[in-house]
Amino acid sequence: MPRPRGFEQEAPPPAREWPISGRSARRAQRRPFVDAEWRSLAPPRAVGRSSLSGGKLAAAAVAVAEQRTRRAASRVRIVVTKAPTACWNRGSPLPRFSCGLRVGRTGRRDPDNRSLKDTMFARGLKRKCVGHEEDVEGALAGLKTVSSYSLQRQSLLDMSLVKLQLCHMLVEPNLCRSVLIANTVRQIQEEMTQDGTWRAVAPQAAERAPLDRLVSTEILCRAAWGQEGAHPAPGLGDGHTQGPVSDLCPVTSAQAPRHPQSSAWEMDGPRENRGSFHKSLDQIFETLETKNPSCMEELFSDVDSPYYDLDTVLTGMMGGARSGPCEGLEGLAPATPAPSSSCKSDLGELDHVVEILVET
Amino acid sequence: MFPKLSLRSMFHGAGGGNDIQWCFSQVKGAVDDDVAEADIISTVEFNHSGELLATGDKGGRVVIFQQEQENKIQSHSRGEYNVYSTFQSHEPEFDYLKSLEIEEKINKIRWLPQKNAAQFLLSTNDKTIKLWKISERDKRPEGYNLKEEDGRYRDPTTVTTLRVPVFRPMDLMVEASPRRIFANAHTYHINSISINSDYETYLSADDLRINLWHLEITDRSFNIVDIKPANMEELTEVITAAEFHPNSCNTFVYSSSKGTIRLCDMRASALCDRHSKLFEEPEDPSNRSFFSEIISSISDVKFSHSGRYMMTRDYLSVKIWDLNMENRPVETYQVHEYLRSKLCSLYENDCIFDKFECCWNGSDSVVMTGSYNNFFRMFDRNTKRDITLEASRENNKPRTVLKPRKVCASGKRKKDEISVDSLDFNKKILHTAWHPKENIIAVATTNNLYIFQDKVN
Repeated sequence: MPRPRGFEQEAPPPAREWPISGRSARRAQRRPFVDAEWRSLAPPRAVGRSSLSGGKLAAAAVAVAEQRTRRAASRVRIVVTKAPTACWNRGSPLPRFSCGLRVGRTGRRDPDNRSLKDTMFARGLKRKCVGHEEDVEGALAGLKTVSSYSLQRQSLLDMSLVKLQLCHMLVEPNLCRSVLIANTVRQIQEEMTQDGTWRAVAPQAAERAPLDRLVSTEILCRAAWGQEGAHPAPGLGDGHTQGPVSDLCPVTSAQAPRHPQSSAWEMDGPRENRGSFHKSLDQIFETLETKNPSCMEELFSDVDSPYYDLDTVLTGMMGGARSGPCEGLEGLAPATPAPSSSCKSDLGELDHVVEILVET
Repeated sequence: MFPKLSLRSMFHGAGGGNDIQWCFSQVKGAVDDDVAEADIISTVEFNHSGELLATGDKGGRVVIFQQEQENKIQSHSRGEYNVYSTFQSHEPEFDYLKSLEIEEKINKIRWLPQKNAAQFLLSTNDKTIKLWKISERDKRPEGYNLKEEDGRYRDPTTVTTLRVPVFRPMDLMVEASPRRIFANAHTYHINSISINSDYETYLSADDLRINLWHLEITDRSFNIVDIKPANMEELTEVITAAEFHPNSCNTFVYSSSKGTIRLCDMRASALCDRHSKLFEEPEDPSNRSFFSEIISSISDVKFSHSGRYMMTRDYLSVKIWDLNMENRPVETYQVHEYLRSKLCSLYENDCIFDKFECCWNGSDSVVMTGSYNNFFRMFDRNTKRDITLEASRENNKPRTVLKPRKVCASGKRKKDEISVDSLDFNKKILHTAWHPKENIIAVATTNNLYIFQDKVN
């Protein structure tokens, strides 16, 4: 079998800064530490440190676009294209509150679904859907009163989710790092739940216990952990030899790069095949269907990006060649490409491929 | 048991003033700034006598340096370290079942104590541990009957007389051969190996499990710690480092990503999931932030040579623990407190996940650890003084005394100080090692190895 290691050498010129192994080992040029405006985010109950320097962020609430791109260019290691917000803003006047990284869109492809209003990633990325203007206005009013602490917390959450999403296709991601980021996300979620800012999106989600919502975050890590055989295998001495555990993994791993796509497909497509999927995929689908879909939406609702194949993702080449808008991050996260309405043929193909994988 | 140190250093330790002055000695590695990824140094380790210094890199190679024998006449400096052996320890592999690469990067090297003429070391990548034998050959047999000197076979019919082959001296050749390969025991990435004081067994730790091996047996290992939850969704803590006690062959510790250290006794049970001691410092509520857990994650744990203390390194500090006291460390040293206000940015660029190592000096009086901008820090436990030094090629002349550096956290920057914002976070010193007997330190920057010595008058 040919070694895929060559990916690293095939990297395009220095503009690409996508981290391969979680740590930048490539950058030879000095990268000064430019920003000093972030203070440690402290929960509201901490004394004495509550003054979070709004600094650039407060200004960002008003005039975000230039600052975002500038900060993105100078700070973020991941290649966030300098694409202006225009390609995202489909008529929405809402400003963005982020540190320069974007996670995904809040809009859902299906305009009939009432779970559009997603205040978790309230960043003005809503598409203009008929019948949702009132939601948009309500969100707008809410946003303007959000404190900078919440903004920063939200940005941190966004950033963390992005980090979890960026799976490393060739090398296993660092489990310690993934666990720490997931714990951070959970901590933020807990706090937001306590604050009441983590509002349920879908009506049925409001009745859920907080644990459900928190647990769903674990799904994010599943791409990293699922490859180690996420489901219990008590009868297998996998401490001794990797063989038995690995036997269970092939289905997961082969599908791991694909399952978020499949799950995105699952959201809109038929669900008949769900029963035959691997267990971890099953759980993802369940989560998507019955539990709080809001954060899942965020991951998989890359509604307007066309399907990115693995090569494109890895080489970080986003942009002009694609038909839709192409903010770097969505494409860079291999877990998030979602078929758009223009890719029905892709859906059919994906369906077919997944069926084959499951049946073997 | 007490290593010989000069009288001056015994009483004064490291720090400013009359204490040890560190001088540049050597630098190994490429000069140019363009770093080849395979050359990135990933581990540094002195052997038990300090004569050999092993480094592992991201390309799976091990380079061993040997100290020259001291010139008794001139005692300006101790012997220099020159390349002794280079070999490819691990190759990149591909896990076909998971469709993932297994990196060949050497995560850890540990030397075995020398028992005969050969040297042995354990080197590990993410999945496989190998025992290497490094032996010297300075004689070779000559005078074979059936072979020519160059190895070609002679026609037996041309042999008219017989002779006995004899050993004749040859140029020194250092051979490294893999004697044992310990594979297929770890599902997750190995982060630590530690040789037991019985010199027969060793442990290897990955993110969720610790295995106990016998050096002679490669097809079997005992699992002694398993913190993998039945449901991976509930995973919140991983093992970050593990080490055997230097004197008690039944005791080992492992640290976690939540800032706890557990000491386990293998005599208590076969599976040491229940700790004998739990070392954890209560969180300081005034410093609490979303990053508290991440910065409390312990990146390295090292026992002192005496075995009484252990040192842990988390993101911002070094803590010394007395094994007899579990509720808090006896000493805490801040490595780069000025970064506390930058945690969010460090989280963004992933620097907050950097795993710094730490080390003791031979007498357990000074501890050392690395930082950013190619700075490294030493803390004298006796005088409570600390010093920041820089590993850079600017101080290239041998016996140049290193100038202490200072980082200005805020406010007016004095002359010679560096402000936090101009630190280079690409230049990090993660791996350092201290000679077990002398004041010689090896400091690894990204792709260079610096050797510093104390000034000998």
